Amino acid sequence: MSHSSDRAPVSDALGALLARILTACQVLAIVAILAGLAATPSGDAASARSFARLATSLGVGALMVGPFLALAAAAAATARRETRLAVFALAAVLVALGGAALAGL
Amino acid sequence: MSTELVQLVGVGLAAGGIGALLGVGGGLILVPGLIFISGLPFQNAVAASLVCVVGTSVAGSTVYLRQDRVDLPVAIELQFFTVVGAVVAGLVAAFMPAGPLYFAFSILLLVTAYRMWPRQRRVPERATHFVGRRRHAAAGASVGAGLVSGLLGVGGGVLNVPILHLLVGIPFDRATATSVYIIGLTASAAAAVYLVRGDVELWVAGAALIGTMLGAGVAALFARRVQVRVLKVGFVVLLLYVAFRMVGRGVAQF
Repeated sequence: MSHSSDRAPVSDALGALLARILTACQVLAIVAILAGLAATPSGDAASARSFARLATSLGVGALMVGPFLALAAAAAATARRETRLAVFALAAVLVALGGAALAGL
Repeated sequence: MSTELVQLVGVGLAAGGIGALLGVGGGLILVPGLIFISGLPFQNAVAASLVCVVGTSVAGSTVYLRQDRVDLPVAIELQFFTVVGAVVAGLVAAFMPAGPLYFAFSILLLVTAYRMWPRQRRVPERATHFVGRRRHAAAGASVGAGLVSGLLGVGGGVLNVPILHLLVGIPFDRATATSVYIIGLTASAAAAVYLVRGDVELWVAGAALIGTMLGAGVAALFARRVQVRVLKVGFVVLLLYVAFRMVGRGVAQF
């Protein structure tokens, strides 16, 4: 099986879907991080500091989740016709989650 | 603090722009930049850099996916192997003897730079060889790229692009775009390990992230206007620079 035959069923629509997911995560990340950075200079008060930390965490988290959401969406979208790709996608997500869980132990 | 903020955004802009053009995450600029600007210890700089590499990937991929420049079947399959490497690296980073790794990595980069130098040899459009032994070799090499990513705080693009171009046979401009997509998950998986350990300085990472996303997004929009030969020469220069830095780091270990 050549690669070019792999490519056809993975439609352009999937690329567009993944682009939309990543854009949404990016916008959320930018807004949250900017809010966090804006709050930091006036962050003498504990509440301002905690808001800045929370907003930045949310932004970083939204961004880091983006590639995983994209992969999960790819797995869901290709599950019927491209089982092999779906398995690889799900396995990648599981390995990454497992790694983070192991690091937390 | 505002000077530091501007510097962090600036280093992020440079890293994101160069990273999105050449298919790398920009960690090679970010790690030394973050150490120099914010005085972060190496481990924390690696952690913040990995978060920024995700920013480069997400911003660049958004554009490249819309332009249909990402080879998704290859990317999805190889992502798994890079994630395995990155997670293993994140877990064992603290126990690895780094010196010999730096030297081995430098030699690998020099060989790759020689192979990547633009010549008349043509790689036919879409004539990819993602089958048989090449597929297994690409999978194994991708685990190596993930290991490098997790250990050194880079996206692994310096290895992903040669894997995709030389081994799989994807045209160079598509290889860089596909690499930008792949490194997002690799870096995110590695960064998650560092994040759980509390190694990520959120303010520093957040400031640099704004720059990387802006730089990568703009660079990706203009990437099509840059000649492939120019990109290849830039990539080889980057490989030589990284090899030089790795030798320096390796020497410092002894």
